[in-house]
Amino acid sequence: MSLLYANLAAAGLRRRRLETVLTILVVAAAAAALTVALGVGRVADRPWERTFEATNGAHVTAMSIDVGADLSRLESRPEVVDSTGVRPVAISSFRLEGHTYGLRLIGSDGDPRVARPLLRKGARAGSGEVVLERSFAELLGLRVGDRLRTPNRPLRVSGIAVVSIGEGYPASQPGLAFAPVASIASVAPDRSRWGSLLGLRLADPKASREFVVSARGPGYQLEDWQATRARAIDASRTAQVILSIFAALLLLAGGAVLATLVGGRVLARVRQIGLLKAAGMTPGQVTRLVLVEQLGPAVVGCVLGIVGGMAATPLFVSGSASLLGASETPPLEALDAALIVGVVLASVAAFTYGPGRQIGRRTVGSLLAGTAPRRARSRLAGWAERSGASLPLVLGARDAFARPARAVLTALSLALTVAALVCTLAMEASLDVASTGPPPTPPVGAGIALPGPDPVDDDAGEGARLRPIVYGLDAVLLLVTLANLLATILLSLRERVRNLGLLKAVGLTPNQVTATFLTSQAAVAAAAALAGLPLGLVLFRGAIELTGSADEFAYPSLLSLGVLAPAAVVVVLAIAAPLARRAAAQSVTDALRYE
Amino acid sequence: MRYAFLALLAVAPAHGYELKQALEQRFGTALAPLNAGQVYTTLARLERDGLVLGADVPDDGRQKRIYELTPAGRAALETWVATPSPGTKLRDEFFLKLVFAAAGGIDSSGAVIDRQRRATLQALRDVTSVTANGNDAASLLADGTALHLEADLKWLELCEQRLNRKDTR
Amino acid sequence: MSTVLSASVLSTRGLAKTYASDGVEVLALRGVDLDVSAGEFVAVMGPSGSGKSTLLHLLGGLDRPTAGTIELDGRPVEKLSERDWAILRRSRIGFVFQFFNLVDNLTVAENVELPARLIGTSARDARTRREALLSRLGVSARANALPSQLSGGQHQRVALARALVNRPCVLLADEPTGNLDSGSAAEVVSLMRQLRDEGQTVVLVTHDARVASAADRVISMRDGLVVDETALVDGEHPSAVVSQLLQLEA
Repeated sequence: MSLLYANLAAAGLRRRRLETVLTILVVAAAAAALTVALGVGRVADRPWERTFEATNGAHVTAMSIDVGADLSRLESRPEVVDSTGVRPVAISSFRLEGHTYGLRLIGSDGDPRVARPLLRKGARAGSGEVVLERSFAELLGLRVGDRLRTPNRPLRVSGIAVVSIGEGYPASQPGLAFAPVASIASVAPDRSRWGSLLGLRLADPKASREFVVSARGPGYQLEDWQATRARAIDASRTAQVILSIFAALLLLAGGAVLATLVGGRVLARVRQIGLLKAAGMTPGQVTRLVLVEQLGPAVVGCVLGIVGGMAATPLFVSGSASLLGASETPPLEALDAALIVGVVLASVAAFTYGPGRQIGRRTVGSLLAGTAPRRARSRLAGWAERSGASLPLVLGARDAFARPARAVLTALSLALTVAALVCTLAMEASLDVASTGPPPTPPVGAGIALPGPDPVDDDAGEGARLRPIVYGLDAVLLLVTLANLLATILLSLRERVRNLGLLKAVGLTPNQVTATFLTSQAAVAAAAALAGLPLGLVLFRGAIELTGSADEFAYPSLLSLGVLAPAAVVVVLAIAAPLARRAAAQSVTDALRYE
Repeated sequence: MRYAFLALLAVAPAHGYELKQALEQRFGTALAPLNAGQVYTTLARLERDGLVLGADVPDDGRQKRIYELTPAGRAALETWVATPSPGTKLRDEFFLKLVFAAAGGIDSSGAVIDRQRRATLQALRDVTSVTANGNDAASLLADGTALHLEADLKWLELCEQRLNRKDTR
Repeated sequence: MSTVLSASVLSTRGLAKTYASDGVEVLALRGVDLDVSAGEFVAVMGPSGSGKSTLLHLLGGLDRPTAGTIELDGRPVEKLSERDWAILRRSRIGFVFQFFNLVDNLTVAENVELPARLIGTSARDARTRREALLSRLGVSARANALPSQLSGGQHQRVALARALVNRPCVLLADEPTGNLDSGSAAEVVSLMRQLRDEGQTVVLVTHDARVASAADRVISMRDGLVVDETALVDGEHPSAVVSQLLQLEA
């Protein structure tokens, strides 16, 4: 029996090559969306905490501007279990492309057990070399092998590392670097200007605040890790929220796409299923056949999508990791891939099973009658006629909502698309807000007078760095929704082929037939776009309320919203037009013979 | 049956027994078994009507009568083939024409069918105009006749298809 | 086998159609010459696969011939574009298909009025014409119904009304009684005869001999070719043969 299913399914797929390819494409888009969502979501998941663990971060950090201050007393306190040892800190500067930038050098001889910088690129610093902190290096475009022109001697960048810090550069200035004490001495010879730094690990990490209070003293400042974490999270909150929202949107888009295509395909097969039932298949058998037919291409699409998604994810994730202070980008494991495949196939099965079962239960007669429209009039059509619009437009308006099930499916997926776009517009608007961040913290050990803060542009802020990532994710989202649009329009067209052929037989020219179809699509698109605008705003609002930082976000301007709705309709028409023309050019005989 | 004999004689002269055998071979079980007496009586009548001519020919010490078709006989045969059969006689008469016309070199089977079809269509036309008149008993009878004529036309189509298939093989 | 008469409304020479189906070439029509005079009622008969439907579709411009010419009212039309064919069809040709004649999301009334509106007839005139046609065909009561709510016979009659609304110069019908019981079929046939009596040119394809016998001329097709053609006449009285048929045997 299963061989019979396989044969029937294979025959069905061969006959409808275009639809099969479409299913594969759409499922691939959905799987890719899920893959990227998973990757981005992973990175945005407690990035600071993961870095803290990976670097064995210090629960308490002590800073002094006086190199002679006795920080070692703190090391011998009973709560302390490990320490970095007292390290020297010096301030210098270097010139880059005509500008002067500050440099905060931390002595790093030996292999630190606590607060150890994680090398992401290059090697540890030897004599005359430095390791730069990642956000610092990325913003200034410094790479391994570059030479920093300090006033005294040049320093070669030997590596780039991630550390557990509060805000990254440029919020926190001057930029951090690690070098052997000998290198520091050669660059900032005046030791009287040096400061010191000490990192401590406590037996009870939760008691860090009490430690800070009880260990207070003159000549140094203490910061506990929970305060640092709060600052870090605060600084990266926008990025985190945005990435999380994207992950959610991609999931939503992926799901919508699958539901539209799969559900739509099953709806389109109603007549054929009727014939199968007439030939003797039971409802259960029909459902099983439809499932097998859908799952085949779905598996292929899944594999393609995951591969594509995995290839694309690093593009988004590496940029985000830096913004979020994540130490590494967790790779996609086999388990994740299995999860994605499982979710996609389960969704396909669910979206098939539902309509499939419903159809399987209908009588043969009602199935062979097809999805005949029930209502004769719609208000839209009435308006169209009264307005004196040309005949094709009136016919199109009549057709738009004639089949409620299909219209609802189309409108829903379009509305979700528009909602997703509204969210991206909102995030664009929020990026501008994020760019104007808090003023930079005063540098420690500012014995040397720097000519003010580093000449870093305003748009080097967090917002600017988020922008390319946001655009990239926008592109993925757009691709997924475009795939969905294409599938929906194609299915709509196929359903109408015979009607359009008949209209041509009666005397409508190919152009008029095209206009009829485009009108019906435009009507649905307009309704969906208008519904999608408030839907998107509500979704966005809900998401940022959940994060509790609603004030840091902005809503898209009325102008952009006002442009979005018509733009969506235009895009739908642009996709539908060439498809409709091709269908309209068919001979009537072929159109009427269409099954 | 007389026309069947005429058609067979159109191919070549033969004596009574050969004609009987030829018919039995052709039609098999479709033909009720002929007895020799019927055959010779029919041939005698045909000779009397001048459609065939008999001649005694010595054969192995016996006298056999060989018959051949006369020009009058040929003309009668051609007229018969060329005249469409009325509906009630379609099955038997037309069928014979169809089977023998080509064999006797009189006319192609396609032409025979075409002629019959035209006549039947016209008959159907005529009958249909009677049914339109509304007199119940007559129009009911006419309807019955029309249905028979429709059946005849379907049979003609079938004959055409079968023969066409044989020709092309 | 063509008899060229004067005032030929529709004529073809060497009309042929070949199409590919699953890699096999099918010669649906292999060279057909046809002439239809104005006001003539022509029936095309033949077994399935004989090419009769293909012929009709080509005459209506619903498909393109592979070879040959078609003239409508003396104008060559076989090479017209889709657009020009559509414009021609609106006003000159009425087509009735065997199935699926009506746009399923328009009511009966709207379906019938559609061709009239296409050529620019005012809504009011279109409605008047529609009402007259539906009433003549006995389906006025269904004017606001959707096609899916009609019976087979009603469907065909509405299709006929739609085809006639612009008084086309040729009515082409493909098996118009195909799905009908003999009662409805007889009605459609008598309607065709009435139309012809009013001067309408009708070309229809049928496998129903009764329908064909009502025509002025019956063309028989087989394997894509015309094999026979016969004219039928209305005699003053039925022939002797038929009289014999119509009498009971004593």
